[in-house]
Amino acid sequence: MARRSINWFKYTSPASFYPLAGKMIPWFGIATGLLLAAGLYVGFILAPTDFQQGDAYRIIYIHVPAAWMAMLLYLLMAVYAGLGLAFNARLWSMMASAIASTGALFAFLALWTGALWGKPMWGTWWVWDARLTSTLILFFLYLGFLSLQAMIEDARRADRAGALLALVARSMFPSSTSQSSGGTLCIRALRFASAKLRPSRP
Amino acid sequence: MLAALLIMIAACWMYSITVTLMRVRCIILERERHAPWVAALSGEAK
Repeated sequence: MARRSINWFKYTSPASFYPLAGKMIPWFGIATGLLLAAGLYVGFILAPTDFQQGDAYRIIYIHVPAAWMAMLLYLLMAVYAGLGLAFNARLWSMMASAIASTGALFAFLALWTGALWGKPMWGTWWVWDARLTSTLILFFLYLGFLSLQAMIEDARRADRAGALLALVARSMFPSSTSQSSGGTLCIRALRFASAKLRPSRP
Repeated sequence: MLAALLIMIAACWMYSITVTLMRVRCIILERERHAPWVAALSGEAK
């Protein structure tokens, strides 16, 4: 029996990737809708109220995934931009450009929901601590990447400039753009969320 | 609840993939607008 092998390199060409992406979008869109509905229902309706923070803690169901995605997407964007720069592959540079605005959206969402939680819990919208400041720097890095790409007319030059910015920023601001702080944040949130399942002891 | 957080993380992943694919399709069309396959595609659309 002859083995059928898929030539994956074919999909690094924009012409081949375009129809494949079109086929994948509805499936991922349906998964997004279902998971979002389930997550919001469980987080905002089924989850019990916290004895200390009340219902304000529920913002972690938006804030933590947003902060985590903002950092992870920057890493992914830098990898795609670096590959596009190294191999001169147009599609990978296009992927980096496409990821940037989603990353900026998540970084903004993390800052906004963090401020909304900070006001009732800390008594202030903003403090200049390392985690908040590094998320703000991350947001500015996304805006810088998008602005740089928008201001250069030649797409290939814009890709190269964007890739350099993404890679240099990745090496200069590791705490803003790496998973170390995002991972810590996520682990702390996971511990907090799993503690909600345990009954309180007298 | 841990389950809600994990589901929301998965939902954010799916959303990011969906939006990135939609956006990359737009970028491909914008940058490759002079390519014959895009012209053929727009011909099909008409």
